[in-house]
Amino acid sequence: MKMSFFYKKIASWQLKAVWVASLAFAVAACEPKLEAPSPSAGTADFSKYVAIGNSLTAGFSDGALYLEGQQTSYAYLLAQQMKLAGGGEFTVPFVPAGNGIGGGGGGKLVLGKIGGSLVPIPTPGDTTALRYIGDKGPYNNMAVPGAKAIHLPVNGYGSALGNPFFRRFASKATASIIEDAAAQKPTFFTLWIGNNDVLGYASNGGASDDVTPIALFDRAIDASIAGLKASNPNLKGAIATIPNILKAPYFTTIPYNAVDISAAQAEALNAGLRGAVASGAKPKVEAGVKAAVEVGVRAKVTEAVKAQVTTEVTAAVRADVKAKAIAAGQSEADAEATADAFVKSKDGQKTIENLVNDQMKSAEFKALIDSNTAAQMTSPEVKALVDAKVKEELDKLLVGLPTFVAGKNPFLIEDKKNPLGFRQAKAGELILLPALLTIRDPKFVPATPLPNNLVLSEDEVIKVVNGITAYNNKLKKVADENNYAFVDIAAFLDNVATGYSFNGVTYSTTFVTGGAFSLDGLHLTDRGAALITNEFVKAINAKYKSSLNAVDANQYLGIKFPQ
Amino acid sequence: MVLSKCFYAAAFLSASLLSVSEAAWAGGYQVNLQGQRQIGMGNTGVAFTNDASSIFFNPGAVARMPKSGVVLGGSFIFSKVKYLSATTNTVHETESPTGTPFALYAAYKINDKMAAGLGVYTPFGSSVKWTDGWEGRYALESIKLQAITVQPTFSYKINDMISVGAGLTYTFGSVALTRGVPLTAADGSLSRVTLEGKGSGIGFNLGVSAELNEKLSIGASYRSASAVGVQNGSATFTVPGSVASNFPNANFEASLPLPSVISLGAAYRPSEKLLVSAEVNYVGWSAYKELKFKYDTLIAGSSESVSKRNYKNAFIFKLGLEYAIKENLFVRAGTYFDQSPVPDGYMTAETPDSNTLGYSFGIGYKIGEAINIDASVLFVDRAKRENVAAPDANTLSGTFHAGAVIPGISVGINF
Repeated sequence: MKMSFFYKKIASWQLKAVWVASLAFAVAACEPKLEAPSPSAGTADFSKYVAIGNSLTAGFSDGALYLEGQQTSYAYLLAQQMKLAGGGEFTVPFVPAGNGIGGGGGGKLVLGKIGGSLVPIPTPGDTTALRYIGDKGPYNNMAVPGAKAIHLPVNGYGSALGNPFFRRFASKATASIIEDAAAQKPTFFTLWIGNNDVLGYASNGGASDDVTPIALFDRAIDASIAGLKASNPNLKGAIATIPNILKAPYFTTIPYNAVDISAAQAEALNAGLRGAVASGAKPKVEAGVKAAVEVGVRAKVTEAVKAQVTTEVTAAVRADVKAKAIAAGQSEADAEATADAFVKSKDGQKTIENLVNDQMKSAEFKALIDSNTAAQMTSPEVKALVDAKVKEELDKLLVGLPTFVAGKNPFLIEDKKNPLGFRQAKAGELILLPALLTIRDPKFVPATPLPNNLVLSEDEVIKVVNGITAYNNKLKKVADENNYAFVDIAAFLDNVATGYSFNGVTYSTTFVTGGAFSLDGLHLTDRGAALITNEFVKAINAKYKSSLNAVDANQYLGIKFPQ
Repeated sequence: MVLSKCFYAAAFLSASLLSVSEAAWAGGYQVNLQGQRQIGMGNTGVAFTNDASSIFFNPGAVARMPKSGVVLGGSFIFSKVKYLSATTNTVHETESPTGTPFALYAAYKINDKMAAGLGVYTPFGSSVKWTDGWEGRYALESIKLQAITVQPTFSYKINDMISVGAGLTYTFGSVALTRGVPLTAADGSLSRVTLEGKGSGIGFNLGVSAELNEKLSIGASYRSASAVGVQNGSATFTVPGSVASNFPNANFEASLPLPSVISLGAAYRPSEKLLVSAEVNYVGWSAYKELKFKYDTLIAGSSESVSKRNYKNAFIFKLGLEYAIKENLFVRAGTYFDQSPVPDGYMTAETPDSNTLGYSFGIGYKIGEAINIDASVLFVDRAKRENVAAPDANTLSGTFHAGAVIPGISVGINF
């Protein structure tokens, strides 16, 4: 048989050699095969990509614009993926390496340990980051931290009166963002704008700035798109929606009732608050009560004086009329009757009244009333009345005063409309992240009301949410009308808020540990930016049949924890 | 399923070498490499009697052995998994640690009707190590599952036609798993957790074997489900110092189920030289609902980590041939189709399972009456499978493709 022949002929070392060679071949043939497809642009043209947006597009993170943040902005990451599909260079107005600079002049926040707990710690800002580099432009990343939609088409936004983050790289002082973007004749653009049209208001607790009216927003978006399209009729692009910024850690980290205290602390706070309210309000209440009581006392004194004056004046008028009647030849008895009749007559009464009023106006009687009133006010009876009323009023105030209990208590918030000057926070009100500095301060007393600009009330929340909804309707409409890719970041952030899993890592909107938001609680970490990149990739691929690769969000560093 | 290059390579290799003998690598983390002759025949073994390896394949057939015997065998798993990320379109692969499952069986014929035996074998295992820094490192960096089952067995021949048998299985094993923790230190170093534990579980193995006539025999067996429970595993975290208090080193409990297996098979001898064996297994994988680590202390505020698995029961269909070239030389070939128990969305980096075709080849050589040498090679060709990660599975989206070549050898002595 053939087989057995085969076996006999092969010596053992040869058999081994063939065995090893064949096994190697078989192993190689059984090796799993998977090949990565190469990215393509589809119907899009990525050769000149220009990104328009605000801080989120610029790569602003940890409260500052700094180099590493710019290098991991979603726009930058997206441009790197576009490069693999025919995209061109993507220039960025990089700031020098270092702490960078934020809106308030400070540098990036870093996580540090203070008193055993991890807190974001500010670093000094680098003012050289704002030096002019517009002569080295143009730049593909045209995003400007702080820009609102309404700023995009504004000429002079890069001037000394405009925005320092645009001024540093604007082509000239009179330029607008859209003008400088259009001048580059982009083949592809992304537009993610509008957050600041509500954020300025929201991040100040509704105490300053305002929500951009929708009419102005619409007009600015239309002008911006028209400006871009004028530069390239075949322009393609992607428009992203504004997420509900109130789901960012800046607004969600501190619960309205985060005053967590023991029973003893609550008792002390209650006593303290009552004492403070009582002693603080007493002079005011006392003055009010005294004023009210004095009005009554003065009225009585005046009445008494007036009665006396009236008696005197009536007697004088009667005597006068009687004297005149006798002089006219009337008998004593007739003159008496005439005088009585006059006093009772309308004319007589009128005359008396006028005379009394004249007398009452005189300085002499006024002084008399004042002194009588003052004398009455110091009388023991009136004093007792005043004290009783003051107590009654104070008690009324204290009844309306919040009571601290053991466990979780709402914050107190400044409120000018409230007689106490403050109110208790309600569920649905948002305490803003900067309040962390106040409430983590060991000297913080929960009985001290938080300033109004650290709290977004329910009405203010509604105003912000309505603004975002209106803006997003407009953005969707513009994307649809122009057949641009529509990137629904609003929907995406809603997903992140409930936990978004990427390659085994769950991202959330939790401050610091959620992984998506940086230490300022409003802007993205590099990982968060990568997740946003992937949303752009998905929407662009779907619209333009391109095959851009998403990025591995987990390979970025995220928030850096100290050792 | 289209026969792949792997199949032709396998065929070529075997044809040119009439190679070695039996083992298999089955669905989930089960290891079906318990007998070299059986591996060579598509891993069939419930319906025919051979040697002491029936302790595993069908305890009912042990009493049918002509003599007492001892078999010792082992296999070498050369495997590789590739992964094409659905998001980044990047390909990653496993480094290939060689798995070495073994099986030792000893059976003693007490008399013509009764036999007792002991099996010591590897019931499951997994050894996967992905390259450092790969995309799925927060799901899994590496895993090593090891287990050994000890099975004392008794078998009784009721009459010339029917015999039955039963064994008690005691399985002990260990798990070691590392995965990334998504926290970065200020110096850029990455964080990870290592979970290590040991545990054991018990079960049983029943079988009945029937020789209907000289040409046809049938068999059935039932291996019960059992679970290897880890009681005092240790979880060790390497995280930045500033958050270390949130990630204390902890003890954990976990349980890894071993599925029940019902096997039915028939073996037929059309001629003296040829044996044809067919078999079907029904594997109770639905026991594997989740992979849960329950900690004895809070880890980042949570007392357990749960990844859903939601495995489904699955069938395996097997076919094998053995041909006696000479009285003392046998060649074997077989194939099987192993249905994946893993539902869509639940493929994981630790067991990237898909429907699998196995092709096996083997030879057997007898030295006199006393010694058998069997060798096999098994080619495992898993279908490429795309996974869209289920939200509760803690896994990756992408395409997995895995394959393995598993040579093995055993020596049997009959006395």
